[in-house]
Formats: sequence, structure tokens, C-alpha cells
Amino acid sequence: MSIFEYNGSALVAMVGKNCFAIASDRRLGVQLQTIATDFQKIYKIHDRLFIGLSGLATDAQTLYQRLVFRHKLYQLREERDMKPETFASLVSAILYEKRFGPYFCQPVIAGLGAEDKPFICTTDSIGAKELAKDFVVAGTASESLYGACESMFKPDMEPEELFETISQALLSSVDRDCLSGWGGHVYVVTPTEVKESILKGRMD
Amino acid sequence: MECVFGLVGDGFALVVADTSAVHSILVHKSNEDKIMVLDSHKLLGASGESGDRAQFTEYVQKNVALYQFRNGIPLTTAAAANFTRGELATALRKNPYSVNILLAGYDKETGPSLYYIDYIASLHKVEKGAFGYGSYFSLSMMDRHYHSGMTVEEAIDLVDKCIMEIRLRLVVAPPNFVIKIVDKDGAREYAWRESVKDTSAPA
Repeated sequence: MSIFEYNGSALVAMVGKNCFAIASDRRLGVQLQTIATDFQKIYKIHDRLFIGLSGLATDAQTLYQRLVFRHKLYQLREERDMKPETFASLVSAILYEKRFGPYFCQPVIAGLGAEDKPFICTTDSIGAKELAKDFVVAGTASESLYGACESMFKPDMEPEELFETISQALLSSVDRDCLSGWGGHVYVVTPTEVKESILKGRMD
Repeated sequence: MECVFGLVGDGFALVVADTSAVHSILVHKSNEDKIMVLDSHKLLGASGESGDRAQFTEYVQKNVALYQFRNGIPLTTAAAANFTRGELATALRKNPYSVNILLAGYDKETGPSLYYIDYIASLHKVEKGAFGYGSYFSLSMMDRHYHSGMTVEEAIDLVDKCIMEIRLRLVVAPPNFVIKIVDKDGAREYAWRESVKDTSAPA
């Protein structure tokens, strides 16, 4: 049994037309037992930058606390928010610091960069960045998510269509994974607003 | 095997724990209190290695008291839970504690709350939680009968149902349980559920 599969998670981020969407499942489990069905895996760093953390829940919480700390320091020093590309490099550096005793997390970073251009990327547990132009996935349901996203994704989707696509991709993928599910949590971010929604899927 | 479970009701939170201190096949005592009263309005129910349980919960209790001495005001339940998680997380990759914790508290502003903290420092605020083999029975019982805003009578009834189910279905079921409650009037022992009494030494 892998340590990455101890708690169970599913994360996906997709790029749209001047917007992005990031979605996660809501289950917190301890191997076969479900502890909670409202566990948060996507965190806001600032209004235009979100990070989802899959993998071991304790490391996701520790990593999130460290990243928020570093971003707040950055804001104090630079008097502005971090760009998504910069934040992704920060995440990568923090993960590689623990190269021989890593955090058992796979982050998914999504943000709006300069000129409202959406940026998404994922890294592995030791900080190897994977930039993508369309979608990135992470978690125990990642293989199903790759398939679902590859078939459902279209470039330059408007926010409403992007929301539908990412929701369907997430729900259909977690239904094939026993360790993730119990609903979905979707954020659709445009330059003007952030729309947060809860999805009701198969509650098992 | 150790059973700890808890739930949140209308203006109160309950934590229930078994009271057996066991080493391998031997039951040292059947009236071991595993729910520590952290401060006036907080309860810390812990299960796991008995040495770690006693040491770690006492460490948290003393630090919560220290904060109150230094700052003149008590910690909120959320702050105490995050402190506990922080200590477990720091120790995790050095000298891990094998203690699972249910932290219940009552705050004047936010009411009752229950925090689930497992031994690898995963923290989550819950309405009902449980640890150990007993959790397979008590969680299912609570999933069926729990609703938010239960009265004390309804909650104790549910707790009794859980205890009966554990006694019925768990092969090495602990005989005795202690129930503690925390509400606006403070944290205190509510009741014991004993099916085996410790005999006192002959005079």
C-alpha cells in the first residue's frame, strides 16, 4: 500500500479562454475507512492563484501552511502578489529541499498570470514541474482523470462550458476510484470573479 | 482494542473512551481515564500507545495552561487543535507520537466543536469522529442516527447505542467506558458505563 494512497484524492485543473478551473474531490479517508466528506484540498493563495494538494493529508496541510507563510513574506517584501510562474518555482524549490525525505504530496497550481493569461502546472512529490497548456491532473484517480480530460477537453472554452467540462471529467473519474469521491469542489476563476461550487456526485 | 469516539450536539460536545489499559493479553486496569480535561472548556480524548498518550496529552495540557498564564486569555478550541497538530507534525519525521486524538471544546463565540487529529497529524473539524476498531461500529451507528443539533438526552442515547454495538460485535470489546461532556458550563465527566467493576484490595 502506497503512502500516496493513504488518504485518497483527485485533483484537476483546466485552462479556458482567459479563465481557468480547478476541481477536487471531497473525501478524507484512512485507507478503506471514510473519515469526512467535506475535506478541503484546494487552497487560495491570492485572488488569482490557487493550489490543490493531493496525496498524504498531513503533508498537504503542512505544505500549505509553509507556502502561505512564504507568500505572505513575499507580499510584505515585494508589496504585490506572486505571479503563478514564480509560485510554481517556489513550490518546486520547497519540495526539492526535502529530496531525501519528501512531502508525500502532488500539487496542482492554477493561476491567472500577466494579461489574464491562465497558467496551470503540476509537480511530482520532489518538485519536478510539468507545465501544460490544456489540463493537469493529480491524485489516486489521476489515470482516470487523464482519460476523461483528454476526451472532454476543448481549447478556449468560456467559463460556463469549462465548468461543465471539468465537473463531468472529475465526477466520472472519481466514480472509478474507491479512494476519492463523495462529491466535488470546483473553482472557476476569471479576471473579474471567482465562482466556487460544490458538486453532488455518487456519494460512495 | 482502544475505542474513542465523539460527537457535537446542540451547544455541547461529547467524547467517549474505553477505560482499559492493556499490554498484550493482560488488562492492567479497567478504569484508566483516557479523556484529559485540557482546560475549563476543552476535552482531549486520546487513543494509542499508552506512554505516548499520557506524555503527549499532558504536554498539550501544560502548554495550553502556559498560554493562558502568559496571555491572560484561554486558547480557542481551533487554536488548541492546530497547536496539537503542529506538535504532532513536527515530531512526525523525527520521533513520532503514536496517538490519535479527538479534541472537543466549547467557545463562547463559535459554540461547540470537535477536531479529529490522527497520529500522522491530519487535522479536520468534524461533527462526529471515532478511532480504533470500535470506529467501524460507532461511526456507522452515528451515520445512521446522528443529526445536527441533538439534545444531550438524544446524544447520550446514541452513545449508548454505539457502546452496545461495540460490546456486541467487537471480539475483544472493552468492558467499561467513560463519557465526558463540554458545554457552556465547562468540561466535566458525565457518566461511566461499566460492565466490569475493579475489585478493591481486601482490607
